[in-house]
Amino acid sequence: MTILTRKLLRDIWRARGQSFAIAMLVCAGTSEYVGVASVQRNLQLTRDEYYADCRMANFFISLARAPRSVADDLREIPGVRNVQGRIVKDVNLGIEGYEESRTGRIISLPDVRAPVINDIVLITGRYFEHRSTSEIILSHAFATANKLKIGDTITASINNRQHTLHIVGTGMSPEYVYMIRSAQELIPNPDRFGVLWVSQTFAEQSFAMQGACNDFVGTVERPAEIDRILNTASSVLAPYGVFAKTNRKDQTSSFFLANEIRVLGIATAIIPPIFMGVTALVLVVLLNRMVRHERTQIGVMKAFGYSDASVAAHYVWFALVLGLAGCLAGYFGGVLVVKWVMQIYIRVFQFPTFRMDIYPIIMLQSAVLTMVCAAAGAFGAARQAARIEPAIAIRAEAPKYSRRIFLERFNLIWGSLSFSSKMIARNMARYKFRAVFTLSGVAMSTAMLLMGWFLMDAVNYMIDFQFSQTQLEDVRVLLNGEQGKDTYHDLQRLSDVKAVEPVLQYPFEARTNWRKKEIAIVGIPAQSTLWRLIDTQGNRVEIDKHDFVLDERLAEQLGVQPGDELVLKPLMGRVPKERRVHVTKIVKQYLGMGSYMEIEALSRVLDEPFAMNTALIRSEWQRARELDKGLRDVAAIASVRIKEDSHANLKKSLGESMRAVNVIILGFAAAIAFAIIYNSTIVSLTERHRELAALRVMGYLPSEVGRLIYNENLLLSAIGFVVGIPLGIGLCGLIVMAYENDLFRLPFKIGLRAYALTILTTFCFVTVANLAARRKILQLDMVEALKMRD
Amino acid sequence: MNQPAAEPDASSGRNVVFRIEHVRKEYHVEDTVVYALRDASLDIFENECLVILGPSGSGKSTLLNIIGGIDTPSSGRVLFRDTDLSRYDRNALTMYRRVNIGFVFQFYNLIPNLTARENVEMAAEISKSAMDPNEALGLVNLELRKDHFPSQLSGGEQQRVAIARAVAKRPDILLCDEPTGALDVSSGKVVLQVLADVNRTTNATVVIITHNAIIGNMADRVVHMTDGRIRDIVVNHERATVHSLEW
Ligand SMILES: Nc1ncnc2c1ncn2[C@@H]1O[C@H](COP(=O)(O)OP(=O)(O)OP(=O)(O)O)[C@@H](O)[C@H]1O
Ligand SMILES: [Mg+2]
Repeated sequence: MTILTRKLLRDIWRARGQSFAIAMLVCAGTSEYVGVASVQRNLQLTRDEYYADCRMANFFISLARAPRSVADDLREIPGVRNVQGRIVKDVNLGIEGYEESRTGRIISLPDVRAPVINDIVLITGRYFEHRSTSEIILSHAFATANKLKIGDTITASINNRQHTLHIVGTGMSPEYVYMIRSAQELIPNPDRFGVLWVSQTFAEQSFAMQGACNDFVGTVERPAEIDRILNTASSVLAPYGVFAKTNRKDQTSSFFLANEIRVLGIATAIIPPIFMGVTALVLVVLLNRMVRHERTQIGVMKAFGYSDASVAAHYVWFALVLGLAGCLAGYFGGVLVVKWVMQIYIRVFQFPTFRMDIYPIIMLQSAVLTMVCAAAGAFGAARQAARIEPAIAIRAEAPKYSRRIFLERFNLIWGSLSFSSKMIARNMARYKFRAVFTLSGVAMSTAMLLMGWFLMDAVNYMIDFQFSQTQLEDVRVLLNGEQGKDTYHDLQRLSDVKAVEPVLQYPFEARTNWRKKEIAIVGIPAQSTLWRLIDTQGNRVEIDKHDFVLDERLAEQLGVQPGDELVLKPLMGRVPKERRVHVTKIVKQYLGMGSYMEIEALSRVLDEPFAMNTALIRSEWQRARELDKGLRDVAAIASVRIKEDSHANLKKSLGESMRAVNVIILGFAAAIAFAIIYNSTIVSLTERHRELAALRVMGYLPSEVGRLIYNENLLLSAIGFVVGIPLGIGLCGLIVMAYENDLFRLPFKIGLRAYALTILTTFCFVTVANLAARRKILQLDMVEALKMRD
Repeated sequence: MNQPAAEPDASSGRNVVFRIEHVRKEYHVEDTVVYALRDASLDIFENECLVILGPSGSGKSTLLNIIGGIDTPSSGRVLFRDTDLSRYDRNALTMYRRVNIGFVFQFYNLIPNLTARENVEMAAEISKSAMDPNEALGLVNLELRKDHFPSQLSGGEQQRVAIARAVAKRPDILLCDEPTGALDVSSGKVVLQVLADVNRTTNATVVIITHNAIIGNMADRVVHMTDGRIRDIVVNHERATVHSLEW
């Protein structure tokens, strides 16, 4: 080991607190990058392999009913690889021991196992053996959540008949990785919704659909051509009434999965650069001080014949060694992050197997990034070291001539300052760069903290807004298809029902002169008390026969304002008769993107006097659960949702993941605040060694000297905080944009609570970093400090 | 005995190591010009012990630094064994110092986080003909303290380590800028004794800067500087032993 290497290691050891802080920063950045980037790749590869192995469909077309043989016609469309017809229907399920209703989605599979599109993976049990019998394979999550095993039975009402179904296996499908019934639900609810795979023969018999199907799935040669293929397919299928044609990227499960992968990508793109930047900054401060401090040593080494390059390299190595140490620790951290985050995903996404890998290429990338940043941080110091002239360096350093600072021109203010305030003011002026550095570190950490606290509040606000301001029913009932007034009256007569409101939701294609979008229009009663619309100012919006109301975001996407005209074309197998409507009002909505009309007006658009497919029910006080049980026997009902449960479920799962995000952000903010404040405090201590020792000699207590430094930091932190708040607001805006998708938008509202918590946590971090540095003040050796020449 | 400055010392017939010719050094500080050296000329001989005396600010250190290749003259030239140092670039100067020069400073300038021996090794490491660090420490009678850090040594001991460090690479020239400046009489004498021994045993040329005229007695020649010029040179025909010096 060369002497310089030995010196290097001792230098690192001597500055171990600071070295540790730097290595920790690198470690945090590396763990995050390696961890999250690996998770992203794992998720992506797991998905891609799963999709490939099970032949995930590229498109989905649902319709009323078509002969199975139409699949042959669809296969003729150029670019189509394969098409298969199947029966897909939602039914009400009953499970022994549970009283609430459950929704099962029945999907037909061939009687004999074949390599179908959207094939399933059997997790337990076996495939169907006896054709035409009521054997089912249950989606694994649903079976687990309801403690159902092979051999158990469940009942389903199919076409007004109760069937007893026998569970022979549990499985998973690429179509239901994110297992929700419809996109509006946002969060899987595995005990209330499951998929039941049944044999084709059984499905045809029980639904009376012999030789027919109501769903086509297909694969294509080139996904880029999918729109053209879907259009051709629609015209082929026109006689059978197409309900919906869906590209794989818009398929619910696929969409959520892709969104998650996208958000992970954003996380890997934003956070590591912040860390690397901060690391480089900390190195700049630390190493510049070191070079200044070791000026004479450097001069001596050069006088003895060490070259400029070898001396400069010494300081670059210092940075590289710390970077390397942080990187290595970061890899282990990355492994933990992968384990931890994948654990969350395993609960959320239904994959038969999960990749849990760490990728060498990602490690390499992060190592290269770290080394480049470390070297960049050391560059200035190294250049300074190279430029030191031995003849000058070995002379005693000329005292820096001190200038009057700006504040001193204001005699009144300056005169009234205490000695220690003057010292603080002079110091900040003397070490401007470090002051700016501390300040920006605090600002950065403040901004991150605000973002973390904001995210938590925003998610809660979004959910609470939805469930306490707009969605005012106790129970929401989805009906089987469209129903008339009779069903409405039937529901009103049920016990525990206080009020019922009919709702009609129907998909349309909305078109302006230059834009086109599929939207779902919701028809609600004119004086609705259970579905409340709120405008952008927070006022209640009434709806009447002539109104066409759009949510802010949808209006943005369509590029329309009140007064503008839209052309509506009904989808789902209706005769495509176009209507013109005028946008009359704009409302605010965070979950989903809505458009609203009065229910009878909407019915008339569909050429019906009155139609409903959803009912909102206000139950008697605290009777929602009893009501739910009563609803199970109503034939027209497809599924029932108790608002309280949806609310709690959404809050629990979204809240949980936001808490996890917040913990990460808090940790990062803490690491940054700590590393920066600790470092600049230590640097300032060593630089002002003699001056502080002199104060101690004069009779200052360590605590008084400490307070001098603490006050300086506090002042800088306060300024940093003030700068950090607008920065944080900007970050919040960015995150709102990053998170925004068709399903929800976070409200860009930063509450007092978030500000208060940000102040509190910033203050905590500043104090902790100061306490850590305090030890050094107590250790200040007066004799030694004053003996040294340098 | 007085002698004109630049004349070769024909009487001794010794070889010249350094020929310093009309060297000037000026510093420009803001609007004023500071003349550190004004037209200094001097020859330094192989294996001699030369003491430079002069008041503070007379340009002694400047001259020494220029000889040592860590500073360059504004004009004039320095010939080192017939090669002009001003023709050396930074790298060549570095190599020149590495091979030929050993420095000893007033404030020792040891590396604080290296032990005595490691400080010596630091110099030995970059030299091909270096002596064993222990041997170098032996020369200054500090073998027993070799694993101590500078802060555990007295000023005189630190200076001896600095000398060991300077001689470890067997330099032809040992340049000492006020080596006893920070020491008391007895430790100062120990240091000077070491320098005299080195001068005798290793055949190195030793140049010592000092404020202390008494120290001039141990030299072969004493150079007096004032105001950036060499005022006179005194040749001692009889060198005094170090222990006989008294101040
Ligand atoms: N970097 C510099 N900038 C300006 N002036 C300088 C610089 N270095 C030296 N000087 C000036 O040059 C002159 C000679 O300096 P030098 O250090 O050679 O004197 P010295 O004889 O060694 O003095 P001392 O006995 O105090 O060490 C002094 O007046 C000094 O102030
Ligand atoms: Mg001097």
